[in-house]
Amino acid sequence: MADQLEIDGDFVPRPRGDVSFAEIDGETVVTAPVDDQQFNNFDAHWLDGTASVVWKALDGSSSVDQVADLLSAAFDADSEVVRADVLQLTRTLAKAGLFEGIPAERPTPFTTQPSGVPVGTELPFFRLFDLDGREHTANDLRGIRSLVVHWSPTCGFCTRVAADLAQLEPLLRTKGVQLLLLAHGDAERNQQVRDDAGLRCPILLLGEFLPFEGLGTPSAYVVDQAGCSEDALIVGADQLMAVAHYLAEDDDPG
Amino acid sequence: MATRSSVAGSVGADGSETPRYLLDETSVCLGELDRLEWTDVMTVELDGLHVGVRSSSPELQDLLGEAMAAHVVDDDRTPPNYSLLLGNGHRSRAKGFHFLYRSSNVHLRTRDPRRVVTGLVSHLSSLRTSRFDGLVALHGCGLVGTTGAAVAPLSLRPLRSQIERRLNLRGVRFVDLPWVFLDPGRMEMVVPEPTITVEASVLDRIDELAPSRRADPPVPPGRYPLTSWIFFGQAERPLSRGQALAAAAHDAFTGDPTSHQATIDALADVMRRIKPVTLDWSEPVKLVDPLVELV
Repeated sequence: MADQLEIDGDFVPRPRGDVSFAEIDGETVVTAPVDDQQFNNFDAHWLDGTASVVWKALDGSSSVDQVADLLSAAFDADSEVVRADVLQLTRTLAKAGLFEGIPAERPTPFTTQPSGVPVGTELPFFRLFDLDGREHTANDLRGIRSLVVHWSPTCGFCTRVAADLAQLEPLLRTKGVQLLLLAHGDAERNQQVRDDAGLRCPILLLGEFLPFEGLGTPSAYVVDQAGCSEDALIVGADQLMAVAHYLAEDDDPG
Repeated sequence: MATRSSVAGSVGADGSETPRYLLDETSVCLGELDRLEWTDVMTVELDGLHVGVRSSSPELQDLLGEAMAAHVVDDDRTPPNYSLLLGNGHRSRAKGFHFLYRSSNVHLRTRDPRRVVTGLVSHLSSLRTSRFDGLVALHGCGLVGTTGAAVAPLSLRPLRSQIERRLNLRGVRFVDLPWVFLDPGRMEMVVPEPTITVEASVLDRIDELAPSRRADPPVPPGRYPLTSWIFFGQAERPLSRGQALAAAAHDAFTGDPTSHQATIDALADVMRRIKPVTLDWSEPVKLVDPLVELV
């Protein structure tokens, strides 16, 4: 089975047989079924006009280099620039699991009850205080990738993974990911859990914070450097740890 | 605390089919919900799917058991998928409200106890996959107003307590279904008739358990012209039709795994005929005016 890191100019991208797509206003939406054992959900990907042209050229018989040559000739564009663009898009689509022989790289978010902030949307503004009384706002999420976790010191699932999260913290930092816990409960109880687990990240005491209202703990978002959610809401300790491990080990976060 | 993982059904070695269970959020602490007292879980059987229902009082659970007797089976493995809370509420600000929860999420908050029960019936009916025949189902919220219906993101649901009363006063109501059902060809939102058998006379006794403080009828079954498709984002950077289609496709699901291309084609047709609307949701109360205008 191929690895997306092995994809180079010789790679022949062949869309999976179960991939569907539709064009609208010059853009393309590519969808693939998600096996969630209950519903038949879609994993959907939006391609802008340029990416749509590339997608149409990925016919399963031409290599990345051949597609790039074809497009650079058709559009009279710099061949090296086109090759780099086609290669990047191919790797992105491969990472999403849209090509035969290459599994999706990232754990599939829980999909039967998606909720919370829409993917790509900025988290609503918040102003919260940490255990030392320091103020933090949504602006803290800008300029650094973040794993923002809805947390409770009285939740057995949170305390169960607290020590594991603490172990991952240094790795997350080296990958440029800050861990941020938005916690229910009082400062004393949260401090106790933090000390017991060895957590070092800020724990912000939760007031009204819309993205997590009505949701259980732990749940989380991966937030990009612009303060926008990168993916669907992460629900539950199992998925949280899967994503945390992914972020800690990811060599190519982009 | 939700302590059990959900399982899907399978066929045993003897060829007998084991029940299917609802995939629920796993390893999630439901916070305040778990600290309340609940009855034992009652299992409702729907075409082989076992759904767990629990209540805030034995009297309510008995009433539900009577009302849905045709579907109740014994199964002590069924998790509490749905929770019904009648009475004074579990938070001071929620006093006088009744709630229908699906897992940890509030699906219905009303002062009319009957609506909680009819809401449960609508939800349970929707779980029958045969319901999806010919329709596209989406994770989302349905809104019905005076001129038509709109699909809104599921993210609107947590904001419901802040805006629902204001919307109701201006003729806009949330549809009491877990999903939105669309008939893309006819550009209609469909609110199906419940398909599970319920003893209606039993439901009349609900007022004995919790007198209604305010009649709060649900959106009745029917077909409503689809006038808008709403997305949350930055209003100054509205979604293109392609982006809207991708978001819609991500929320869509179908009972037929072979119909993905047909579903995406149908959604694309809808997006070509409707203008997707991007609303800023950072201040929920400010959503009321545009939502009213759109339906």
